[in-house]
Amino acid sequence: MSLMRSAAFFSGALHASVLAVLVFGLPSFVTPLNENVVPVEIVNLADLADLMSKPAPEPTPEPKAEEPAPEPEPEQQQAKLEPEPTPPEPEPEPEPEAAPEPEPEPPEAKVEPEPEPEPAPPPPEAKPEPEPEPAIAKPPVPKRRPVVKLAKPAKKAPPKPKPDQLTSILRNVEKLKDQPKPAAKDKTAKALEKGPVAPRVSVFEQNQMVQAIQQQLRACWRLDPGAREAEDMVVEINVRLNPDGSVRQADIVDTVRMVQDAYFRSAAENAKRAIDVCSPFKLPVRKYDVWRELTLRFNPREMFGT
Amino acid sequence: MTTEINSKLIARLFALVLALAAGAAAGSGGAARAELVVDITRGFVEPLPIAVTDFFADTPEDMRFGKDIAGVVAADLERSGLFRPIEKGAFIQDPATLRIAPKFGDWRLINAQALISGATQLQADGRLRVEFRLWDVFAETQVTGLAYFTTPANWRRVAHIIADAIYKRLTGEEGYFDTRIVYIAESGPQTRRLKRLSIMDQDGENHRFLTDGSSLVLTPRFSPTTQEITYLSYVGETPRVYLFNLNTGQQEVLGNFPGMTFAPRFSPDGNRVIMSLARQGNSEIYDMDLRTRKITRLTNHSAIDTSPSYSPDGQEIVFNSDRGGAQQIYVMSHDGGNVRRITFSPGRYATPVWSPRGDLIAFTRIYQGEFYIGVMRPDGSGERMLTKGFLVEGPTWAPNGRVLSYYRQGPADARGEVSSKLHTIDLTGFNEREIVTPIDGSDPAWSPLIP
Repeated sequence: MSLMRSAAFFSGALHASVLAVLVFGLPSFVTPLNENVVPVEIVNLADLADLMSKPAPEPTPEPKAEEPAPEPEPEQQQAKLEPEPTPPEPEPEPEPEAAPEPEPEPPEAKVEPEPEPEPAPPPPEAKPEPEPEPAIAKPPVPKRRPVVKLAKPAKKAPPKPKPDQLTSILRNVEKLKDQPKPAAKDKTAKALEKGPVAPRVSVFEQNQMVQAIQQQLRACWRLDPGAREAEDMVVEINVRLNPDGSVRQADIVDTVRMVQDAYFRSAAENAKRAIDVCSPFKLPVRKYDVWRELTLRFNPREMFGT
Repeated sequence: MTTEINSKLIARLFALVLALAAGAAAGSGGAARAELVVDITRGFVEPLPIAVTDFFADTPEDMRFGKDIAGVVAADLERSGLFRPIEKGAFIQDPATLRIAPKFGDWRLINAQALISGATQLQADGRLRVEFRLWDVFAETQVTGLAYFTTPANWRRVAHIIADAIYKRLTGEEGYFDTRIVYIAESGPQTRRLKRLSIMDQDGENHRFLTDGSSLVLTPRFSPTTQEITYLSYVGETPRVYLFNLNTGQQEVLGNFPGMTFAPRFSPDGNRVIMSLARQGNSEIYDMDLRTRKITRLTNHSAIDTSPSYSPDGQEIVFNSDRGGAQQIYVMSHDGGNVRRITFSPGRYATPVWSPRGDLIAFTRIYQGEFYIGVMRPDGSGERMLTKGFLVEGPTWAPNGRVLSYYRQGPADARGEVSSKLHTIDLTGFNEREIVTPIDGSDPAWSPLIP
């Protein structure tokens, strides 16, 4: 009975997949991803300027001469991207604008013929502008900002953080009246309360393990304090480690929120990336039983000093 | 109504299925909650190292597009302060083999955590096809990939759109690179300052003057929904408010508003503008419906009420008032009720602007002879000063509510000249940059994403 059922199931699955291959072409096993349609049109601002007033003297002389006639259509279409050098032709399938882009999609691609033929005379894009590409000055990126004291007045690179100082990662150029409170609670102890532990390991040993993991992840966990609700983004990840400390598996616990909340997904991916970057963890192999399975709880709140 | 309920129900069912699937996966994967729970409370803030490779192409002509587009994408990402593009000289894998598949080991070696590859190709019909892929180097997966067709002259916009897509996928936040900034370009001596309405791409490219400077223009504001601006222009002594559509070039006068203190700001839906008008010597806040041109007064107080700005849901309005003595910031509901004060620090507050993201209000504060640009939550908590100076004024939000632009003036020099420059800053208070403009600038206004 169950054999027959599974045979029927197997046969059905096979038929379906043959059909799928016929319809969609052979699947690509490299994750193809879906795309957004974004119409690209350019408003000819030179013309606008004429409309508003006499053409003002341009500081950046541009060859206004040959403006290509308004092109009927800088439209965009979606096409599937597949990593092979010669991607198979995408299957057309109408898609609403701005498809949420997260998941790996079945290998059919969407081609949306953009319905709006808009006149979009492109601005003359010839080179003679004195154009250092990005027109923004001061390209240098702020040096690494390791979780630093709140009331930093200046742009200079912040000093090395004192490891146990309560700090904030948001800047305030004005002196704060209320400085952050002193020492952090012993997170380690708190972590230890959470779960019962294999009896053979002393609290002291566990403590050591927890601290080793915290210390290693501190150098790997990159976060964005300016993201929306950044301080409330607590991410739990279940991790299984190999005896050599490399990561065998890392699963973000809140899979529902991963799908529903782009901010959470970004925070969770940052946490997951920290684990990938830190792998392999350096932990004593004798204690493998203690650290083979971990729940890592990334909680940035303390860094905000609130 | 039913459809709404249905879609909600479906969404909920979907979530349930996901939860069940996740439970099953966790069970079978054996990665259920572990015995050892470790709280990670320390990390670091640093731009994400990203490798942006020249987009691959078969012909030298296409190759130039590929290089230029990659250059603009890298510059956009870098300017945000959230990404650090890696020097191309350090790349090990070349674009040709990258086209087949990334050798992730090569990219890990140079500490790239994300990798951008791409390709450009001129089509037979004259259009340019541009595709890119975003790879997670450590997870060894493709995170997203998109392709665009456009006229070759639009390559710069495609580059901004690609940078936005990457930004959005990695931060969870909408991008803001495919946007423009209007501002007042200033030149000439202080006594006869020439002020011209100007516009440029967010990165300073494609700069244009929109007016010739024959009449004084002030305080341009972008509609949050359309490529439309309002600005103030003086006809003799009378300020006139203009509405100007950048797509069509259509320009109209909204009205004469004697005694107006600031140009109107749009409501979030773009259908109304809100402004302060002085009548009988007292400044109150008014709302004008652009469709009917009907004007409604919202405040009624003997104090000066000015510079209103809507919350992104249109339900509340933040404004200035000196009803409590010094000029402070107040919030009221959209019909003028429920007025409450949200700032209590010494000094004067001005030009509050509600973030399009809704979570913050930016403002100018003047305290002990110094100007600050700051942010705080809508209830007044979490106040932080992002930058300060002799004169920093006129904050405007990028459409994603992450970055602010404003202008900065120094004291007059020996010849009495004052320099005025546009800047941007991240809401964390870091990554302050100047936007280089051909001449001096003030009063920036950031556009929404270009549709």
